[in-house]
Amino acid sequence: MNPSDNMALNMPAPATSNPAHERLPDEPTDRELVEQCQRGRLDVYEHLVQRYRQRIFALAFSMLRNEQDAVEVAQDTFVRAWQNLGKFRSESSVYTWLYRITTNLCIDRARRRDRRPEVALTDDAPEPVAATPGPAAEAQHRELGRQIDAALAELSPEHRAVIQLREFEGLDYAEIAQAVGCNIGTVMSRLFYARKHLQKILKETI
Amino acid sequence: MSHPKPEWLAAWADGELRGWRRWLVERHTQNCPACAAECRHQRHVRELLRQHQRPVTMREPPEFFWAQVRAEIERRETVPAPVPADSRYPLQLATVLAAIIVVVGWIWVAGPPRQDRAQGPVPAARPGLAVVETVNTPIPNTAATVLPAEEPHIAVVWISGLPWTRDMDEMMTVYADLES
Repeated sequence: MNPSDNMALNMPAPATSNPAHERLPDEPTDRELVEQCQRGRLDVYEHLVQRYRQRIFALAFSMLRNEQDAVEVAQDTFVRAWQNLGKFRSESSVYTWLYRITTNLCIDRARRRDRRPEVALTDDAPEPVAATPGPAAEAQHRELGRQIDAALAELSPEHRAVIQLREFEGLDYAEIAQAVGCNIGTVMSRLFYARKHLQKILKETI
Repeated sequence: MSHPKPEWLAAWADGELRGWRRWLVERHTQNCPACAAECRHQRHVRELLRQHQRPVTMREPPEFFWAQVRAEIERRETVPAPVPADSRYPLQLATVLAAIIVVVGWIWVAGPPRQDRAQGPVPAARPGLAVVETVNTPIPNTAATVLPAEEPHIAVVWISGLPWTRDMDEMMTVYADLES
């Protein structure tokens, strides 16, 4: 048996209880998981899926603003990633590769949806857990969050993607460029104009 | 005063600008209140977004999500892969080209005889019946068939492709080279 197979067999159960799905020190790295998956280990692939499930969903939701669409895109992302794992090369990281698949799927879906005007764009985000103290501050915080959400909804999916990847996922410009399939200059431009647009919409607030 | 590209201001505010561009923006914003204000606005919106981000969470249980992904993977692996869109068009193109070649070939073979065909090599006749050769003259579109004659010193030559004339002298004059 291949020594690396032992590693996969001794792996703990997928970290489904870890809300952030960050890799714990005793967990295998993405690259180790990918090597196993490239040998056809679908059971190992579950670890990768659970590790990135929430982030992929968050990116898809930020682009599509619809929970059901985001879930479907997240599922499709992992199905396609499995089908194309043989083509994955280690020049890029796994998550930028997954983000790339997700953004492409979201853009396709958004275009299809734009051609079907009868389908309403519902902004039905799962309600976040409030973390601010005091009822007044909480209400103010929630109202500002609602305004920011409304402002974000006015951006194009491409602009929302760079905002999501930069502000919420914390990717640097080079990683964003890889994830959305454009050059760094385009990332700079999209970020600038997205923030400019948000600033314009939220002018009274800020 | 020329301003740097606006997107450089965002990149500088994010600490993502490198090299001479960074130096340029740093230097410029020290003397340009408008660009300095733009950088502040970029930072402000960035902080606002980070403070008020809504951590959306998938409501589907992880096990259920994985079960759906796995089922879809297994379903797609049992269904024959569809022909990729990229390869469908070459197939159609090849079919059309093949059809065109067949039609053109059929017209070429079964179409009306053309005068210039006489210039090409004439099919060899059966041995003993005729000797066929192309006449080496400046007259275009002619071919000659040398037929066997009873007298050994006489050659019967059938020339095709010559324009019709009633005047044999004129023909002999114009096509004198034929004698050779």
